Amino acid sequence: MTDLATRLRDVDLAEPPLGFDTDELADRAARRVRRRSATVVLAAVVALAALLVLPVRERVALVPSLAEQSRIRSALAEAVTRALPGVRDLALSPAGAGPARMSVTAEFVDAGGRPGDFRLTVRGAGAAQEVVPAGGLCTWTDQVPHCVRLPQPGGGVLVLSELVYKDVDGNPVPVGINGFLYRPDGSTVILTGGLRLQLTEEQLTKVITDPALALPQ
Amino acid sequence: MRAAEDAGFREFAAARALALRRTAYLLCGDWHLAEDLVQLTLIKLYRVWPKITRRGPVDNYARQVLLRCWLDEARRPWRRRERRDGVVPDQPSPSPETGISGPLLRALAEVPPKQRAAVVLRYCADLPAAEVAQVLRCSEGTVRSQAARGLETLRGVLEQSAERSAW
Repeated sequence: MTDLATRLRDVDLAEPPLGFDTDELADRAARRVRRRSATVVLAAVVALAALLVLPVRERVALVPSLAEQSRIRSALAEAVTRALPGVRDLALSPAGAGPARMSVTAEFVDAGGRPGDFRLTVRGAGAAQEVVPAGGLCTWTDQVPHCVRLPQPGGGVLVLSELVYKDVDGNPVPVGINGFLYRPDGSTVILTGGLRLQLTEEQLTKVITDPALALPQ
Repeated sequence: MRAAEDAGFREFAAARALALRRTAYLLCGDWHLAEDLVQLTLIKLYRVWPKITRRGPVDNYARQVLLRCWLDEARRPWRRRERRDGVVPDQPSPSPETGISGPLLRALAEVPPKQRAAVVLRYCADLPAAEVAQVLRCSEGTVRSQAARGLETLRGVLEQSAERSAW
């Protein structure tokens, strides 16, 4: 072992001259360090600017928690019960959720025994950009013959629109009433009628304007 | 980095580049790769130069960085199968096969990386076990056992190659 160790200590290498200039290498290293520092500063500035410039509602848009979704469904059940006295067999099922948004499908049988259904979507302010602005509604007069804007106490606006389609003879056939509630804080509630019994304007207004149907900011 | 620190780095790089390249060559067995490893090591050292010089001598830290660069490179052998710079060297690289060290160097290349690192630092660079332990980030006992195993492997490889040449 000693002999081998000695041979390793005395190892004879035919070394070529150094293929790079150490001063040039130091210049290159210095440039890299400067560039790296500049990038870090730039990234910090961009991140800070984004934090300062973006409105609060665009910074965080979380999917509503399961507890929050359950609370909304309970509030909807109470609102439907108040708006449709004698309603029975009310079934609420989740119909999707996303950042600052959740939907519920409601099926029910009214006091007269007629089955009906609708879909309700609640959006927080963080999902406001997904909704057509209130000013964009009530403009397609051929498909929306009946459309009203109802200013709400405390700000906001409720838009009720009745959709129709034309049959083969060109006669308008009502499809149902949809409701769009725009709150002053940017949150929205949209109720779209199903294919069966429709809610009346009064019932729809009672349900959609329930203050409990709101997601936190 | 202050001007004095920059000057200190330049002095260190000029004084130690050859020794580092020699260690790198013993580890990887390729002069071109050895130069690349040394340049990468020096660039990495530059970034932390003010901090490491405050802690004391930087030789062992430099070897540590070099070793890590080589181990990283060894894990990606496909990167080194061809020269990618497209430049043909002006003069042929001196062959390490000349002289008495040739077979020894070829045999060294067959020793597993960690044992090879222990053997190169302990014997070729002639560092005390304590310093090798610092570079390899392990205990002195581990250095001794790795170096001993490395020598055993080396001896085995040399004996096998001697037998092959006898045939």
